[in-house]
Amino acid sequence: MAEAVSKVKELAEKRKVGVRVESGTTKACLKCRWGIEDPTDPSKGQCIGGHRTGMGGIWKRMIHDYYNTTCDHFEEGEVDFRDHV
Amino acid sequence: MAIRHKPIEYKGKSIEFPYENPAEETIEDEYLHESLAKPTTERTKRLKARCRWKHTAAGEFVESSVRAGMERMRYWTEGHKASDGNKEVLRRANCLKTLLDKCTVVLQEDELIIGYHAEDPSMIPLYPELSFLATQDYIQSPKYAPQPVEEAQEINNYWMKHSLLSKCMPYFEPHEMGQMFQVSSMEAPSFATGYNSIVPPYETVAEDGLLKRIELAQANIDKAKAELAAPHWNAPERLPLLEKIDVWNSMIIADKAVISWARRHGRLCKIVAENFETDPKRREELLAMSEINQRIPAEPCQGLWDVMQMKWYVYLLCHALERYASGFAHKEDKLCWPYYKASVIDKTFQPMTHKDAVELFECERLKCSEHGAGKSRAYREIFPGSNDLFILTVGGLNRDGTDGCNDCTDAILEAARNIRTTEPSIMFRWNPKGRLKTKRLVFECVRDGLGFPSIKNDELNSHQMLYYGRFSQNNNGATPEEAHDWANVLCMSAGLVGRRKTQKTRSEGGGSIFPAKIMEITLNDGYDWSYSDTQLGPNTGDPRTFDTFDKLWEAFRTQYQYAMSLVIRAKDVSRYWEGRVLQMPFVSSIDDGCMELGRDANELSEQPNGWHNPITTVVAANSLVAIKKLIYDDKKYTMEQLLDALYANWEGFEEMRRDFVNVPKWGNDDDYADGVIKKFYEDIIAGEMRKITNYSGGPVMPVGQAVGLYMEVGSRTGPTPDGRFGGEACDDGGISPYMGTDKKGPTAVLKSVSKVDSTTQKANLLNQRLSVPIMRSRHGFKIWLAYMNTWHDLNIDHVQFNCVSNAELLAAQREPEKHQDLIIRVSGFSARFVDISKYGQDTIIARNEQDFGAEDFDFLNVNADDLV
Repeated sequence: MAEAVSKVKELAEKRKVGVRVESGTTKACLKCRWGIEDPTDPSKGQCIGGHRTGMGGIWKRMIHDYYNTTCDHFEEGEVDFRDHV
Repeated sequence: MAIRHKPIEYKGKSIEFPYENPAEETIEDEYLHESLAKPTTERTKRLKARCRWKHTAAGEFVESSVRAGMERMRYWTEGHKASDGNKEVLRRANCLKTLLDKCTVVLQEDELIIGYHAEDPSMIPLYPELSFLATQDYIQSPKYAPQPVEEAQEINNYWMKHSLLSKCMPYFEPHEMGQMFQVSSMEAPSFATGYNSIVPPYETVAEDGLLKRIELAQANIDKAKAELAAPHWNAPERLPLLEKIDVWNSMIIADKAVISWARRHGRLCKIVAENFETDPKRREELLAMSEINQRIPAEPCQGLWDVMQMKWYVYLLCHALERYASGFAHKEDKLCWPYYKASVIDKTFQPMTHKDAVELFECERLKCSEHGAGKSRAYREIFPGSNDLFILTVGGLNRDGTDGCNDCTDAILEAARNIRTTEPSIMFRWNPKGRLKTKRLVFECVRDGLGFPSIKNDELNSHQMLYYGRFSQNNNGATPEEAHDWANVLCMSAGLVGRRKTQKTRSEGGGSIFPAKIMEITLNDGYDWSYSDTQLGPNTGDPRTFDTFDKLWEAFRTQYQYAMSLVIRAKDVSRYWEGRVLQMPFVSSIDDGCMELGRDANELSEQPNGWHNPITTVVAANSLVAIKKLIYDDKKYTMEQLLDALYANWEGFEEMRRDFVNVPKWGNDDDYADGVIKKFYEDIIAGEMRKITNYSGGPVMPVGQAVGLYMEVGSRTGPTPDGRFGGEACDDGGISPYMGTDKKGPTAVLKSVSKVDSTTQKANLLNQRLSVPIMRSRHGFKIWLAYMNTWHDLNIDHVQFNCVSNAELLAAQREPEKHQDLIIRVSGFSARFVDISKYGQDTIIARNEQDFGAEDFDFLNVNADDLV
C-alpha cells in the first residue's frame, strides 16, 4: 500500500503543474485570472487553468494558501463567467 | 421555418404532427422561445423590462450593478451590541427591531406588492452572524464590497467570536473542517456557509394577523407569571417557565416591530400619492396600498391583494431579514384560495377579475426575480443562471382528500406561462384526481420550455409525511389530514406546510454528499489526488488487493458512511447552537407549536423531516457497474490497469476507455446495470443514510438531486471508471441517466427508474428532455398525459422536463443577446440559458432529446384513434 500511496501523491504533485507557495509573492493566485476563491473559505482558492476537458470544461485544483501561492502561468485579470464552470 | 416531426406509423396508421398553433410553423426553431412571453398587462411588461435580476454564475453576479448593502449588517450588529447582557433570544429580537425600525423602506414605480430587504433594489444584504467567512468573501471583493468597507470589516471582526460558525467549530478536528469546506465529497456545513431553508407558517399570519399573535403571547406570559406566583413553589416544574417567558417576550418585540415596519411602507405610499404622483390611477393604487400596509400583517387578510402583500412581507422576514434562507416553500393555491374566492368569485373584498389575479401573481414572480441574497460563494456557484432556489407548490389534494386544484392554481400557472421568468419555480403535485384543465396548464408551461412545473407523486409524498410523523418526539407528527398539506421545502424534498410542524432550518434536512468523488477516493485508499491533495476519507485499503467486487462495495460503503456521519453531525451541532444563538422570535411567533409551548422555532421539532442529498450518484453507480463487469466478471482488465488509465486521465488508454464507456449504463432498462444500481440506491445510498438518527429523532433519507453541483463537483473530480474524463460534469440529477447515455428512449428510462423502490428514498430527481415538435404538435398534450399517467402508475417520485431544441440552444451560445427569454431546466431549478457558463450550457445540450416512437406509444397506452 505504501508504494501505491506514494504513486498517488506523486500524481497529485504532477497535477499542480508548478504551483508553489512563495510567501509574500506579488503574483498570488488571488490576483490571477485563473484563480477563484474557495467556495467556503476565501483564504483558500481554486485554480481553473491547467486542464480543459474534452467538453471545454475545467478540471480544478485546490489552492491551500490563496494569498501566497503562485506559478509560472500567472496572468493578472479575471475570467468571464461564461468561460468558467 | 419550424421543422415538423416526421409521421410515425402506429397501429396501422400514419400519425402526422402538425403544430397545434399553425402560426408557429413560420417561426424559426432558433428563436421559438423569444416569441412565447405574453405578459398579462402593460404593467407587468414594464416591470419585467426594468427588473434588477440577481442571477449568479461561477460565483459572480451576472449583472454588473449588484452590490452588497450595509444596512442589514450595520443595524443587526447595532441591536446586538446594545443588548449585551440580555438573554440571547431577547437580543435577537432587539436586532430585528433595530433593523426594521431603521432600515430604508423601498417603493418602486408600478409595483402592487412592495418591500425590499436592502437599502437599494440593486443591493443584497449580508449575514455576518451566520458566517464571517461568507461575509469576508464579499468584503474582499472589489466588485461587491459593502461601503464603507472599513465599517464592514469592523462588523465582520465583531462576529468572528459571536457567529454560528465560531460556536460550532470547536467540535470538529481541523482535518474534518478541511474535508467539509472544500465541497468535493461533502457540501460544507451550513454553519460555515450560512445557507439555510425554511417553510414559514404563512397561514397563521393570514388567518390571525400579528396583533392576535401578540395577544396570544401576552396571555401565555400572564398565565406563566400567575403559575410562578401560585402557592407551593415547585422549582423543577416552574423554573422552565422563565425561558418560555423570554421566548414569548421576544415574540412580542418582533411582531410589534414588524407591524411598525409594514406601516412605514404604508405611510410612504400615502406620502408619494399625496405629494408626488401625478397619474390619478396610480395615485388611487398607492392610497389603496397605503391602506393595505396599515392593516396587513397586523390584521387577518380579507382579499387576494392582502394575502399577496402579507406573503411578501413574511417571505422577506423569514428568508432575508431575521435570517437568510433560500426557498419559497408554500402551497400557494391552498393558501391563497380563500382570498382568491373572496376577491375574484364572491367579490366581497378587493373585488377583481381573474385577469387581475393573474397580474398579481406575475407581480409576485417579478418580486422574486429581483430578490437577491447575500449567499456565500458556494451558493453563487451552484445555482447558475438563477438568483436563488425559489420553489412554490400547487396541486395535489385538500385535507379532506378532494382535488386541490382550483381557479387560483390556474391563475398561478397562467402567470408563470405568460410572464416567463426563471423564478419562482413551481412544483405540481400529481394526483389522479387532479382536474384536467389544470393539468393542461401544467403541460403548457412545460411545453413552452420553462422547465417547470416539476412534478411529484402526490400519494407517495403524503405517505412519507405520515412515515416521518411516527418519529415525532412529542407525539405530534402529521395526522392523516395534515399529511395532505405538504410542499417542496427546496428543490425536491417534501415537508409539511400549515400553522405548525413545518421545517424551520436546513439543519433538519438539506446539504449534499457526492458519491462520484467518494468513488474516486475509494479507489485511492481515501486519498484525493486530483483536486485537493489531501486525505479525504478513512483508509479503506488498496483496491488492487480487493479480490472480489464485494470488497470494493464495502470499501465504498465505509467511505460513504464516514462522510454521512460527519455531515449529519455537523448539521446537528449547528442545530444545537441555532437554538442558543440564532433564535428566530418572528418565526417562532407565527408557529402555533412555538406559541403554545414557548419554544424557539430552531429548537422545537414536532415533525421530523431528515434528509441529505446524494448528488453525482449515477457516475458512481455506472462506475461500479463497469468495474464489476470488466474487472470482476469478464476479467478483461485488472484493477492495476484501470488505475493506471485513470491516473493518465485515459490518455494512451483510448481502447480501454471505449470498453468502459460501452458497459451498459443506467436508464436503458438493462437488467445487468439496473440490478447493481438498484442495490446501490437501496443498500448504500439509502441504507447507510437511514442508519443515522438526527436531531429530531427520525431517520435521514436520501433526496437525490443535483442543483449546479453536478458541474462544480465534476470539476473537482478526477476521471472515473464509467469512462468520464477528469473535470467533466457529473450526472445532472438524483436518478437521471448520465447525459447522453440513455439511448433506448423515454420509456426505457421510466422502466429503469421504476426498479428502485421509491419508498426507500425521500425523493429522486428525474430530468428528461422532450421532443419540441411532438410536444408542440396537436397531439402533444395527449402524448404527455399518457406519459404522465404511466409515470404515476410506475410509482416514480418525480419528473421534470426540458423542452427546447439544440438548434435554439446553439444559436443562444452564438448570440446570447438575442436569447434573453430562453429558459432551461438545470436540475431542481430553472435558469436563463445565457446566464450560465459554456461548461454548464454544454451539459444541457448533451442531454438526449427523447423522441417518441411506436413502441413508446404502445407502452404508454396511447390510443391511436386519438391521434387524428
